[in-house]
Amino acid sequence: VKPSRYNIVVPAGPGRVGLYNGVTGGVLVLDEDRWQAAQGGGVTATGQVSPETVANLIVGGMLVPGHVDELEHLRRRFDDARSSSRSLGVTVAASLGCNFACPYCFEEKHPRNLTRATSDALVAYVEGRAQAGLEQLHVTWFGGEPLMALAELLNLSRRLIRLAEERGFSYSADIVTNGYLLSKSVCEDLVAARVSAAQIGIDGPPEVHNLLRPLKSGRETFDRVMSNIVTAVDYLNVSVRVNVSRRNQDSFSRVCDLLETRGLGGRLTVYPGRVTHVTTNPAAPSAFFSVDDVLSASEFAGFERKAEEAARAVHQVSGPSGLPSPVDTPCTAVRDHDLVVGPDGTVWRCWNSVGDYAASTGSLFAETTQRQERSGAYWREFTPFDDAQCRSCIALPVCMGGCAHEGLNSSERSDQCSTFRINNRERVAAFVGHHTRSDGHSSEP
Amino acid sequence: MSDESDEWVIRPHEAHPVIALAINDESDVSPEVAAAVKQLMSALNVEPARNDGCVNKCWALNCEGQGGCGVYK
Repeated sequence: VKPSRYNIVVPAGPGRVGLYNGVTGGVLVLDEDRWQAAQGGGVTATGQVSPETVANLIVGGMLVPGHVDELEHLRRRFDDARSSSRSLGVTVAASLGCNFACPYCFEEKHPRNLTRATSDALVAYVEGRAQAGLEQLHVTWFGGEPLMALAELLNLSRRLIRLAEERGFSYSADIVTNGYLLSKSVCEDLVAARVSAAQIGIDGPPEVHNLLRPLKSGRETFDRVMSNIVTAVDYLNVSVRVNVSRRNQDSFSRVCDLLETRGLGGRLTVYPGRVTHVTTNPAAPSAFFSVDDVLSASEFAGFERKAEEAARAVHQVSGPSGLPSPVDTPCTAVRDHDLVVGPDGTVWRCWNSVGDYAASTGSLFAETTQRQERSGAYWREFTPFDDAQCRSCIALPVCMGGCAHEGLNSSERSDQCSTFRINNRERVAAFVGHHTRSDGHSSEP
Repeated sequence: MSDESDEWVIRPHEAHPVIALAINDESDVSPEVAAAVKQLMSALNVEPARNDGCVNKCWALNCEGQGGCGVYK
């Protein structure tokens, strides 16, 4: 056996190391001498490394047989997930209208809701996938603001759930919403529509949030959104996304404190999202958002570390650890059968393109044009395995090439990459340190 | 030395359904380690990797999906 190329090894107290493996996402803490010995002949100063320890390291992916080419296995995992007919992800922009006017939004708004014809076409598409062996359907309700089209959302949900029951595939859904319309009754409707999770934006304390996430009329939104979050956690798995730019980077920890004050500690997750300067659509608000306000990838990577600590302090980290989980593909945009659909049946590959008709890759109702075909080819052919930097990057298993949209449109390579490329060691060390402290073990000296 | 001080902070299958099961045959590891792997997989409640299930559950796929991992044959 040999050590995985995707191990990140950090100190975990006197004589101990923490091992994180990107391929499995496992984290194991063990005695340093036994880790050293397990990579060699298996002999420590006091005897042999036990078969159980070696088994832990194998199952955790930290040790792999010498003949294994991990990069090739990741490639096969990527290819299989990309072309899989077993699972399908559909993002439905139920409305391209929005009641908010966020200055950094990357979407050009079109005040139209999901049409009956688009719902019909989507149901037909999913039915076709069911005939091809579909096992899992996941729908993300997106916008604009999807709750502007609640009736249409609920109607299509009912049809897809019925189809899932008839055809025997599983159905799940989540929603990306600004939270303003997320009342108790809407939460009940969403639960009935099998929506289990909601991502809601809070960009700071009231004086900051209300500037960055106002209603179109300019009126404030903080109090109502926060009140709705307090209600929503009884119905949905809520994650609060704090969109971070230079304007509000000091606000993240205050958001954590405010959530704690509202009794939400440990009842939701909170994480920072990097505001980027998406300028591919000149009609989108983000085209006018000052590039000087955007944190660079390395600045954000540093910020992210502090944000994780702030979130961890009130038990609001994402996932089992706050560390990134392994992925098979970077996002829905590169998976062959996944769709991002607008209200009128326009198809995009990427969430960042929604609302930009010049970037569409097709339609549920019309033949694909030559321009759309060319646009779609980029996503179909995107692969991290043709990229020398990706092939040599330790973050590859959790990133799989990162943001394909940025890869296409940004001149800054770092905009494409996961911040884990930059801050992986610090994040694993912080996580292991936090764990060993909370477990009563000593932390790093 | 005992392995009692080994401490899983995140078990592999908590983060991703893929596991690192890459044992082709007993030339990769000793029979004792292979048995320990099998026991651990059972404790983790991970289903045997074979046939098309391997694609989701095993990143190694050395057996091309024929269940030849040596642990679950």
